[in-house]
Amino acid sequence: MRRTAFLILALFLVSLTLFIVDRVAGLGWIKGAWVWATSPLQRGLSDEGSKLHRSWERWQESGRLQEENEQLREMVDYLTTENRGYQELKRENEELRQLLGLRERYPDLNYLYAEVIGRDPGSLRQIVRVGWSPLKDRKVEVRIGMPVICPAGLVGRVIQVYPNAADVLLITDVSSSVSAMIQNADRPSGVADGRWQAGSRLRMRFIPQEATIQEGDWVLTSGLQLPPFEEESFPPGLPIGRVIRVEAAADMYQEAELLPAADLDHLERVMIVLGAR
Amino acid sequence: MLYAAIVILLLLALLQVTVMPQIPLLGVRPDVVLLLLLAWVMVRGLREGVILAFIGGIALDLFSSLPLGSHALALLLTIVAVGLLAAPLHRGNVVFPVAGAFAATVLYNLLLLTFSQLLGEEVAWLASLGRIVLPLALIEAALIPLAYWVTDRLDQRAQRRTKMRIG
Repeated sequence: MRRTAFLILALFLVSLTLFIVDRVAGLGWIKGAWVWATSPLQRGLSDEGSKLHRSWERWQESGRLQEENEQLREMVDYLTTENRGYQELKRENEELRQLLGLRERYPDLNYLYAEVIGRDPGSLRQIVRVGWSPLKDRKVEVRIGMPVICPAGLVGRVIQVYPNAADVLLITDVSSSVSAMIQNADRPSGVADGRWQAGSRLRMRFIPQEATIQEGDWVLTSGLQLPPFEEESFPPGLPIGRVIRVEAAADMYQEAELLPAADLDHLERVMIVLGAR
Repeated sequence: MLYAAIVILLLLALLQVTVMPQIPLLGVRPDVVLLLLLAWVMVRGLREGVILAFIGGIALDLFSSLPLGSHALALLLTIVAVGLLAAPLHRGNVVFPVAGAFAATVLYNLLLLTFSQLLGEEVAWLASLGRIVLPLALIEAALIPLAYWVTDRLDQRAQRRTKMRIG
């Protein structure tokens, strides 16, 4: 028992030392080396995870169909299996087309295409790890604070950078704030805060009480610079989400609950906005 | 046996950040690393439990944006608590592993939230507890009998092999 107590104390002290040293001096190079070594494996497993998710969804759908028509379900399964490879290619093609479309919509911006290779290990934080090709994109410089987008809209911002990979804080995380405006006649502005813990949503605050807001209104980035990210604002006009509920606050502002424009739970490919051309 | 557990643990840590986010249950992703550690400390004891908690914690830290040592500290404290309180009581009783897994999941996540708060991040305590920690604790409590059974079988197999070698 004494040896176990000593072991616990030793491991506790090592962990605490690592925590303090990483916080004070930074041990990012260790994580960098780890990311570099494991990102191919992570990328492969994330792809498999995405396929598993789609299969899971297909299976659930099939289950419902089974109740209605067993024969039809069998046929669907057969065709699904036969066309799985084709569908996968088609979906990837469509996504790449959308990404290209996005480039056409914002021609003044420089992008870096990246794939989602992992997520934060816990459920408490909304952070994804993205990686890019070390061969194709050797000269790019990704920096903390850079916006990350996907064809559907805003995804988040870079919070940590490794060789050929970065951690991205999603807009639904509780510590994320984005300056936003509602796309309607009044064009009121406010701040969209992450509320993932409240059901994968955002909450737009500081909307002037006199502004008219309706459910279904689009919320876009306003491009205004917010502390503490004065130098890392999001480009204006990127879709953040849609208003799903309006709440009249007691003070001079009203609030709105937003559904994110992008499906942040199943992201596969994103673009890091490197800056203006 | 310990070396095999380390390999399994590292593999689970990798699955935790790649595959598990794609198959959420009750809106949260099951914590397979914590699950294995809980089962291990109950079946194999505190000594092996803390060694694995440290290794598993460092592995999770490498995949996380939190500072190195955060998950290791949280897992160590959680596994020590389970090893000292729940593990000695569990033999022949299914209630203790289930209750232990539930309490340990809450403790582990509260520790991680505390670290985030200490690092200056905004923490939504009530929303995190209600929407994430409690559903996750329910899932871990529901899955612990399976994890316990698998670990117990591995343990029995290892013991048989040791006896055969001695014999």
